[in-house]
Amino acid sequence: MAAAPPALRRLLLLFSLLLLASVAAAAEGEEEEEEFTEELLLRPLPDRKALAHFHFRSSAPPSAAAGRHHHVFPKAIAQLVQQFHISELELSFTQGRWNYEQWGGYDPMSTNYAKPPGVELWAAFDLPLDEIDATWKNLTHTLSGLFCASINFLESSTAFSAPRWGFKLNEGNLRYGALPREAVCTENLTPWLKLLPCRDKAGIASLLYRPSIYKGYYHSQKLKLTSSQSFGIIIDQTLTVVLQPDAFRGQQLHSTDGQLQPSWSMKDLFNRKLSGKCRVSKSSRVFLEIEKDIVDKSGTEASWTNELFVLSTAPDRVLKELNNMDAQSSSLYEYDVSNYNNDKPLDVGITWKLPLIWSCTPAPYHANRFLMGSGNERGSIALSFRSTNLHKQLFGSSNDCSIKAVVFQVVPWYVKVYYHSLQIFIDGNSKAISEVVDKIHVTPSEDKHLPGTLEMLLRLPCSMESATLSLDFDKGFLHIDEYPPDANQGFDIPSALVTFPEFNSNRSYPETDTLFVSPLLQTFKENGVVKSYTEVLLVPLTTPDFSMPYNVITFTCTVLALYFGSLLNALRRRIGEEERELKKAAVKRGLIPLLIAKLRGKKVDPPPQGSSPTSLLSTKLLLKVVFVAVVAVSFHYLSNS
Amino acid sequence: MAIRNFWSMAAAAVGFRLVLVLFGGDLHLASRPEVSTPLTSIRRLAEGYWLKQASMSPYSGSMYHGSPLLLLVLGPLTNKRSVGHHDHIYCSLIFVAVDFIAAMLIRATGRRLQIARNRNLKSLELTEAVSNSVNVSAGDIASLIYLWNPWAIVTCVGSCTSPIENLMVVIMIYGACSRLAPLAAFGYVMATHLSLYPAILIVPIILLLGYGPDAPPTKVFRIKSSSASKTDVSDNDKSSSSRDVQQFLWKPVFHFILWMLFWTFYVLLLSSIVLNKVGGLQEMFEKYFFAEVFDFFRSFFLIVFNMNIVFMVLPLAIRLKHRPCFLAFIYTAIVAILKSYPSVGDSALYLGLLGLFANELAEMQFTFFLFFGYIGVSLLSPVMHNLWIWRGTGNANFYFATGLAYTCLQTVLVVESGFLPFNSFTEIYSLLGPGGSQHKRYR
Repeated sequence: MAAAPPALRRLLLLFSLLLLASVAAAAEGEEEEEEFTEELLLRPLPDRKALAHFHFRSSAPPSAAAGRHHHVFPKAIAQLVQQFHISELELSFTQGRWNYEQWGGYDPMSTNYAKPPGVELWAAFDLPLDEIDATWKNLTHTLSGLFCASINFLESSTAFSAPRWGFKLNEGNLRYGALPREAVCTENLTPWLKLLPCRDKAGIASLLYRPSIYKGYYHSQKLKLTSSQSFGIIIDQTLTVVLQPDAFRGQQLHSTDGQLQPSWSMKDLFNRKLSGKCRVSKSSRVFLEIEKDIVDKSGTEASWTNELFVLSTAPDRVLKELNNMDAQSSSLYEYDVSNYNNDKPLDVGITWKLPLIWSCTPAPYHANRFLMGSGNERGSIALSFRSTNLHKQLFGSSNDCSIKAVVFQVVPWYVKVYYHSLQIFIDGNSKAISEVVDKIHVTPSEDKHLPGTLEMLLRLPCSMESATLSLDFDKGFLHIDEYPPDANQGFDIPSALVTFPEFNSNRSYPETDTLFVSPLLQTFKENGVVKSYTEVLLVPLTTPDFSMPYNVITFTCTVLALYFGSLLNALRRRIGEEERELKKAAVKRGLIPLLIAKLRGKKVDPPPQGSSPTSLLSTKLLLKVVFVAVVAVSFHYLSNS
Repeated sequence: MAIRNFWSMAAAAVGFRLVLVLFGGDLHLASRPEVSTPLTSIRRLAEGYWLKQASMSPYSGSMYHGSPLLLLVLGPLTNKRSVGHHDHIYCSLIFVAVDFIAAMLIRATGRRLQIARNRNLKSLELTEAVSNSVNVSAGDIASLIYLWNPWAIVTCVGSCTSPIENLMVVIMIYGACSRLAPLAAFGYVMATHLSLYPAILIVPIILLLGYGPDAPPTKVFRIKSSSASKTDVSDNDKSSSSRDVQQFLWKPVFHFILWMLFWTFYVLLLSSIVLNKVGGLQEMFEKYFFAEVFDFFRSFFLIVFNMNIVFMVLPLAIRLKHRPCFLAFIYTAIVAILKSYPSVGDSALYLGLLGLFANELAEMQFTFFLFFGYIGVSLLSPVMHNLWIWRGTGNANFYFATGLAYTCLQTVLVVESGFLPFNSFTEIYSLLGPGGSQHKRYR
């Protein structure tokens, strides 16, 4: 067959190109485009560390219009949402623990991006209630494959729960699960990066130099997904790391009084400089946030060089937080990455001039959780609240008020919590439950089936300094093959979540750019109920001797045989039987003398009873043997089939 | 002849319990695995009551597996706490009373048995044997054993619900011995409702109601009558009257069954009222009975254990049908050996019943071995448990070994005492003169 003439081929190509372009133009005309933005927030922390928060947002318009093709939006996520009818999903991988006392508990960063260690997954579905559990199980497997993590352990009904209001208000369509022991490493980061259009080849994500981000004190990688019919799918991928900058740089400048905060720049933190944005991103910005406390001290109105610190590069814009109550508030220095390129890379940094001590705003209460008791039989979980006197700063020092706190806690079934043993101590004095607990909802645990869930609304008096809640529990026994390989290490109880619904940590910034709203600042503005996660508890459980089942089987069977045999023997014995036996023994000769006699060729007299009983006996014996054989064969057959 | 100072000793036992309950502080007996099992634990009952108060089903979750009636009776008491005492002091006080009632009923049962025995011996014209052999009141001994048994004390002070289960079994046996069909039916229905295993006691109860309390086997009367007819042919009334003793009476059995049905309906009705808010009887059957029965049948081992109880019911009933009270004792002992969650409370019950047969058991073998075996096990078991659970230095094998030893001891006890009724009647045979004189004692 001859090839088509080149002119015709060119014509065809042109035509098809035209067609494609027109289709694309039509699609663009009707709907807003898929968008991708990348942002980075840097912030010095009071304990000589630095926080870096990467925020990537991809959004896709409602899928019905766009069809099945995506431009920058990750197709895997779109399919996930379509398949499982997810309305909201949040998956976080965290290593380390957010230090609420040092790094703050009352800012958007700590309420939204401080996560419990390990994996936490929650999802709300847009499905009938009876299909949700099955969908959740499928979802865990899908995510497990997508992120190279053992999220599939959340499939078992012992691992997830359905909180009603303690975690997030819902109508029963939300499922929550946590794996506190999951290790987080690059194998989880790589698939996460694959969802970004530029991966880590260009743009802000290129700063993610693995050795430096995994060296940090806290590492939380999160994927938040929101989907609705009206605005399509939005995914927020965030990575929050707390790093220790190199302390020795800049120390030679000032070492007179006190210790200077370490000065740092992107090059120090990530071993990279930022050389341009990701081409497909709509906007690419870097923010450097200076806490309110420092701004208060520096005095000058948001300039990038003052007597306290100098920024390495002049910012493109300075944003002040809009705050009604305080005159001073935190300020953001904004850099637009599109202004920088390979020849002029961006290296945001801060150099301190004076030694400085400041603090972040804490949550109203520091929540801690710990275990009490010793031994492997029972124990207690205690949850303690220490007041930070924040309400005095915020609402004045009225002492007759009360502060609401919601406690949400999931306990695995092998920790058998006695909810009736709940005790509450306020400033060391025992209080009646009804005085403090406004509302309580308990889903008791079922052995090997359901974890226990506790949702509790507390009303703590403002005047109190500390409160402690304690719950007794018994430690259960696991089946021998339910123990993990390192059974003696103990078992983790996932973090409890304490929410303070009356406190909101949202921060709003003036919208200077009317065309574009920064997604990072948008998340700061919304949904800022103050939350804090408590520690993960490690409960040592009794381990059996793992070679024991064999002993148990053999010994128990022996004892049972002893019981059965001796009892039967006792039952079939009759009075005077011994005499009869003695008579028989006198008549009957032993087997060996009989054999000897046979061998010698002597004729042995048959026993006086005659041969008929013995033959009867032998047929009986034969019947018994056959019966046992039949039973054994049938049992074998049945057990195999 | 009654034991001297019976009342003072009984009062001392009750006083001892009260002292332990009131001034013993929290001995943490309630959480010991030997004392309270998941089925009898009062902490679990308190949890079930709490769930019920929170308008949830007490059977949601897998904490509580007991009866709804216990929730009704004991539940409100678990809430009250008094300063300086342990949490469940009011329940413990109730259990002291329950133990005392049980002991009194055991004593009354012993009286009945003794009267029946004396009557039988008299009908066999062995009056000299009556005056010779019976020199102690078995009922008094049994009730003192029950009251002073350290395990019963521990069970009572440790407040688990097994004293109530024991009381129901004792009520049933007492009711049957004194042929009070309604009482026996009540005890039977309640005991079965509370722990299900006493269901097998229906065999001795029907035998007791039908034949009356323990008597020598019919053969003995036949021998007696034959010897009587040999010596005196004209004396027909006596032999016929002695045969009458053994006739099976259908009327009390029929009454028993009627009453049993009545009580069953009543208990179910009460339970459904208690559980009214949270799903009613359906809930009870699904979460309580079926959890207790069918969940145990999950694996082969549990089948072996629970089936073994049933295996032995019929052979023992055939062999011991002339001694229904003894049969009841053997059944409770077997249940205590083989039940899924054994506790010392079950052992306290059968050891108490054992005292009813003190006269026969005087001949028992291995008593020294058994006595010190029991003491050894009850001392070693907490030690091994401590080493395994609290210290972490010993492993589970040691604790398991004490459990095995305990089972062996119980087996030996059952088997050894199982021989005895036959022996005691050989004694009667030997006393019976020419007809029975050639029967020598078995041992």
